[in-house]
Amino acid sequence: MSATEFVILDPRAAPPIALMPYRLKADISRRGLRVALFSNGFYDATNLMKAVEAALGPALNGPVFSLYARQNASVTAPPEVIAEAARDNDVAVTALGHCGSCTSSATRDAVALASAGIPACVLISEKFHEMAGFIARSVGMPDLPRVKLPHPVAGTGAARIAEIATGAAPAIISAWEGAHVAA
Amino acid sequence: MSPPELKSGLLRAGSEQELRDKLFELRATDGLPVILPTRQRVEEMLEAAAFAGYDSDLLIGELGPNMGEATVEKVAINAVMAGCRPEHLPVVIAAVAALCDPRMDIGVIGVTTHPVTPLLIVNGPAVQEAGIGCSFGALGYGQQANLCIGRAVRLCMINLGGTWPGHSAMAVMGQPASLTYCLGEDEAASPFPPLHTSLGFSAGQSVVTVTAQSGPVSVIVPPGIDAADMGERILDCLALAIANPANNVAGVGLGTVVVVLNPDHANALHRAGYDRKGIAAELARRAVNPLGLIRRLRGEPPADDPDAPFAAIADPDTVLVLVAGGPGVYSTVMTPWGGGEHLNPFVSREIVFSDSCEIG
Repeated sequence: MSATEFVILDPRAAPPIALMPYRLKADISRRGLRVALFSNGFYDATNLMKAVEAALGPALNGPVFSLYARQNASVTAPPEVIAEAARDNDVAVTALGHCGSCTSSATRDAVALASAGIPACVLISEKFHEMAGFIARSVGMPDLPRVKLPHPVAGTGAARIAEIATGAAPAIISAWEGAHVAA
Repeated sequence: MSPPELKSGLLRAGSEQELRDKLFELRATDGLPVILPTRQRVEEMLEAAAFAGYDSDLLIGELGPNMGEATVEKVAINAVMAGCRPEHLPVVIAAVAALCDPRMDIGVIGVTTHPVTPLLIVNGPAVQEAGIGCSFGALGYGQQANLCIGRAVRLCMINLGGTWPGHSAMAVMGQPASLTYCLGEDEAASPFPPLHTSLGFSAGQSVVTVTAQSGPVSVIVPPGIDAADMGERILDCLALAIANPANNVAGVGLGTVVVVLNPDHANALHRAGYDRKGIAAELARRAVNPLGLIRRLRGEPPADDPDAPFAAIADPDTVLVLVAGGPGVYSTVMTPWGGGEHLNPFVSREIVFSDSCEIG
């Protein structure tokens, strides 16, 4: 140690969990693709999911959509709902990340669905996109696909929400196809 | 006794100022200058922990949202940074243990856009032993123990929980109390039994009660021309402050509400025949709004019966009533966010200063 060196102890602690690589891909050309739509109940989240369904329908081959909606955006979906959705669907999309707690719950829902084995992505307003990355990292899945939406989404009206959903549809499909997954 | 083997990594720089700058660049401080956690300072802090029976590698819990491991060593490092004295550390350890309790939902509390932040209420001998202020200006400047203990807890939330404004902590505005929010109950000035005895602890135990809260709101209730009705006016004023329709709690009726009575108001309520439980029950009864108003202000569908009362306090047991601050005409109310799986509760933990046994 040089005479001028000052040394302190690092006050930080990393989470003790192991990182899970995200390597999920789906064949979205298959007929009757089963799609889970998760709404955490934030303002307009369910309206957004219905708009996403409308936007994705023409791009997929006879898809079957299932909506899993709850009313409290500050909590995650119950484990039994995650298990049921993972069992009964081929892919999933969760929403809405538009505040702190709802970004946390939507991201954790997507991680839970991906951990259960189905390709999943989360819809996040651009203002909370970085935070969703933090949450995904904190629960061990930093590569979880996050689809960035413009801000605001909530309160913008049906026409604008439909426009946002249409704009997000290609990124959702791309995420399910594993576009960002290393070959 | 040989010093404990420390497991934390080291940060090095050519000057103390460079280290302070590095801590800020790493998002490892609250933005204010810190006491640098040198090995010697941390070891001195850990001596207090050892005296209380805490080994440096003891895992207190994992602190959300990042779930960093809150070992006694890490908590001691952050306590040094906050300016804590060794006698403050047992309070910090107990408070961190409360935050790590899953019921606190700190992983969600820490990220919500609401400005909610942990409030620490200290009861029992710890108020004296740690020098915690509980009278004039208890939540203000000049209260070394309150300021340093509360700050240490915030630093743990930053460095172990991973919170940082705009990155992981999304409070729209935040609040000054997010830097430090700690006070003691003035048990000697209170006409009621100490708060912690109402929560199942004995008077001789030291306890910290932690609950995430909005900032303090001052409530004025002067003696007036007829002191006989003062108790009723205090309750009405407190209830109005709690039921402010713009508060979260007015719309959900969930979460912990904190009422800090100054000693004069506490004595007036006591003379009027109210005890702690009675005060909470009265506040729950009085803190109401017309359902139609709440629905309209929150953009919800109209109510079938718009005049039906909607309670801001669904359960009187969610109200914490304590006595603190100097005497006067002002008491204080804090209201919760009300979200999360466990609905913004309070959690109490015993503070342990010593594990020594007396040998007769």
